[in-house]
Amino acid sequence: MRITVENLSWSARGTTVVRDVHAEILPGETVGLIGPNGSGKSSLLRCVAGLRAPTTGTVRYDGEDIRGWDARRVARRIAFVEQSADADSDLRVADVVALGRTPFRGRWRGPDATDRAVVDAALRHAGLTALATRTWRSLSGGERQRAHLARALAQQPWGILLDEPTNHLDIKHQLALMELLAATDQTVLVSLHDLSLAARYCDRLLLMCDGTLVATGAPEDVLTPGRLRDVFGIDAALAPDPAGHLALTCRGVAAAGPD
Amino acid sequence: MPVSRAPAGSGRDLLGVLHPSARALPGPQPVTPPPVATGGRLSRTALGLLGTAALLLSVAASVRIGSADVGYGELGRALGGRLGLAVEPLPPLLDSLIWDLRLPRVLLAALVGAALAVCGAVLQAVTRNALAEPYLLGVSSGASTGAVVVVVLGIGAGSLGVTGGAFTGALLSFGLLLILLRRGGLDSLRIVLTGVIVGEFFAAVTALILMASGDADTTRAITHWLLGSMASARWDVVVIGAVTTVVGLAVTWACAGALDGFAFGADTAASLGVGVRATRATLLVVTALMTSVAVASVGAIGFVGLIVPHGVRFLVGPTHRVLLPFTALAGAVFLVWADALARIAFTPREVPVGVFTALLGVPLFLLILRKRGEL
Amino acid sequence: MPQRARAGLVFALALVAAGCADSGGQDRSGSNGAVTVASCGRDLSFDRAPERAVALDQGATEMLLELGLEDRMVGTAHLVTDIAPRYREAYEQVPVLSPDILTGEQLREATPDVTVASFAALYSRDRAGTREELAELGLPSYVSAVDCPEDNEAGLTPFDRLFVDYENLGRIFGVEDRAAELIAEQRQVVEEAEETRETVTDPPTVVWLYSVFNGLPYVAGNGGIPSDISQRLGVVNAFDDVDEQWPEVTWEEIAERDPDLLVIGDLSERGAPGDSAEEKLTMLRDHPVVSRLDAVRETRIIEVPGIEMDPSVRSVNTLRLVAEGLRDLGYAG
Repeated sequence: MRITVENLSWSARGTTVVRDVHAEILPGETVGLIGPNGSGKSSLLRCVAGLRAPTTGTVRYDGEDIRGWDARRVARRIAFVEQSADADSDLRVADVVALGRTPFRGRWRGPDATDRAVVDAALRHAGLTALATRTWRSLSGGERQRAHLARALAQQPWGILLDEPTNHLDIKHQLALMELLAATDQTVLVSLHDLSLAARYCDRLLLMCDGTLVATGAPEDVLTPGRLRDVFGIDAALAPDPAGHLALTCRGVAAAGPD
Repeated sequence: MPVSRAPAGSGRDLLGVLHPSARALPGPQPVTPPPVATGGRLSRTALGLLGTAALLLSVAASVRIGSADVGYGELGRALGGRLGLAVEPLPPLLDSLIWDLRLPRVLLAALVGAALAVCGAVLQAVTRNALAEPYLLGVSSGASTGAVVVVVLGIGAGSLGVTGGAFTGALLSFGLLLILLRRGGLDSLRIVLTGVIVGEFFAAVTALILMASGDADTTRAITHWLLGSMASARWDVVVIGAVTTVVGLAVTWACAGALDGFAFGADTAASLGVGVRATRATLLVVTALMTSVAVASVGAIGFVGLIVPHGVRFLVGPTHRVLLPFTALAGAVFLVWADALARIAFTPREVPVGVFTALLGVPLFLLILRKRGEL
Repeated sequence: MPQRARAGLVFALALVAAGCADSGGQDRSGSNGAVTVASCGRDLSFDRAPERAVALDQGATEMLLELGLEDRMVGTAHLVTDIAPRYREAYEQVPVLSPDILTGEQLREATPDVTVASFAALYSRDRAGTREELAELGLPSYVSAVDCPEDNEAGLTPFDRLFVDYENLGRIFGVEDRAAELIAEQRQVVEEAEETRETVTDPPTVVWLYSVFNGLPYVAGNGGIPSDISQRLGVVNAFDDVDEQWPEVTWEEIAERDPDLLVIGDLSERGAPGDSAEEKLTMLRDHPVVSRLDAVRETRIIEVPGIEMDPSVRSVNTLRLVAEGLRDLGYAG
């Protein structure tokens, strides 16, 4: 699915959080959304996910303006994984993943064979089959995040949006999650804190600063030493590691930068 | 640079099922038996039959219990006569005791129990708070105030009726609660404290109305009613209760999927295709309606909405499609027995049934708080 | 009994002659003499005298016992204080269905053929059942005329309406002679008391203190027995301007009205804290403001049984006690 964002702005309580963003994400791409805290990543993601109505501008799925769509219609196109969405519940992992079937369910109908097959596949894809009957509260942070991803996959979405999915995960789970994402055929837009992960697993990056999109393109084109200094305030550079993957080498806080 | 290495052991066929292009395909068979149906919890069919049987038996058994013991023979004669069977009619007063008082009372207890328990389950999901319940959130107090305004001051007695007054009061207290909770998170202690404040406010308004215009006898009658008593149950109330409970159950059950979605908050629910505002509004109005019909007919009975859903969740799990019907069943059984106990525990005196539900509910409430580390 | 029945026959004949019924003048306890009595907005019909009466409260119970009807009672309920000593023996014969307000089930279980109550409020859905419901079951529900001044001839005082009750119940149960006797007895007390009025010069003001609940005094307002007694004795009920039978007031308000004397109700049999006359006296004397009132300092206080301040067959006793008290305190000769 192609996701198009046209001069999108979003304000809350008089403050403009996202300002005039243009972006295009191509079918099957895995795109990373990066930027410092408070740069408007989460808000942009929520606008793209149809959860917030843009103040001005347009979001298009495959060319169709989604303004006015009901939640169900959006949910059949795109899945959204909130940042560390938690529940005080005894839901089991399989129940959580089955939530992904909500947009396809009739009001009065219980899960059918298709629902079960899809949930089953999503569980296995996320490596959660063995944990299917575990309760939510008994899961570790990494397991919870995988469950959310499986839930998103169970939506059979054309696109998946994720807000900082690697937060609070240990390094192994971060890598596993990113590998899972990169392996899907669907269009993925994921906001990330970790620039190395973004550089390594994303086809393209969108760099935000103070609500505006300051750069788009391949990781090595976006994360130049100048932008790393100006936007993130660090003295760093992107370079291939011995295995040939891009990695960020930090030398410290930049001498002069924001904050 | 991107790595498109699939995790070991997954394979494209698996991804195929998850891909949107697979949606149109006729239902593929699960590769392994669905794990959802097992998991140490009792079989739902068995539990459903058990629950229905328990409800029917409870109703039948508790119809016999009261200040006057009614035998099955007499019960048969009272029912048989109305079904046109050739049975020897009962003396009119005994017939009236069974048909006009006891039967409607037991049925009303079942209906109100089901409604209040379902309200609790729904509010717990919508507010994402294990302690939400009409009584604790002050909704029952609001409904009581509305009912007292109609009964004592006579405002809206013609147009609204007691139920309408209770409904208005319930909506008002809900509104006040939501306004007070607008800012800041919905952590459970905060919701409960706010609910207590709202409840206290409406209780004070009720007391003020009673003070200002009720004579001592009215005050006593209303105080008794506010504690929750089934004594005024009649067929007309049962009909209203049945309609409300059935409609309420149908609406909430239709929202079962949405209620599950609320588990991870409003944004996740919306991203799953739940119309959050509309669903929330519908559910709050329906719970307010069920609560107010309950309050208008039998007074403010607390803690049913707390005790029952927690117990049922323990048995059948938190998925609302299953949880709601079982909660309704269990709520009905619970209140039928609580009321039977209220009838006979201190004969010839009758205890307000709300006293019993509170005696059972308060310790459970504390237990939940403690378990959650908030006490 | 036969003597009484004959006298009753005479009385019934007189009533029939006055145009109350047209079914001929048999002795009603014999059978088919139908009687219709109006009671607080409902017409109650009786084909024959009831044999299974249930009294819903203490006032109704004592009234039926006073009329000698204990053999025809199958239940009583809702006793506030001890039954008066002179009814105690008769009372022992009547089953107590509930110490509290009677429920619909308890009432039906007793299979009565008439119910008698002092207050219409006892007939509600959550109590004995509405009067309409009971009427549909063929169960007539009598309510004391005292409780519904609007359904009675205008200008009748609570005592007058008590007499209406005696007459009504006399007709219903076919004990008109006993009812007539009772009316005559009580009317005499009333008339004697009224003679006191002639001797009252410079009418004193009175506060009738019924009970103290949660530290707040309940006094007699307008429309009840105390108000009626005050008027008959030519004294002024200090709270006659309050249009409520038992308004809750403050001690300060009592002090401000500075009554010449106090009548306090002794409810010691009810047994709640502050119910006895003694405790009430102590409260009056300990209160910083009320204790300064002349009526309290000079103990111009009349004690009466509190239960008699509510309209009942015993209320004339309080009328008598207050009249005596007035004479003792020098307000009447």
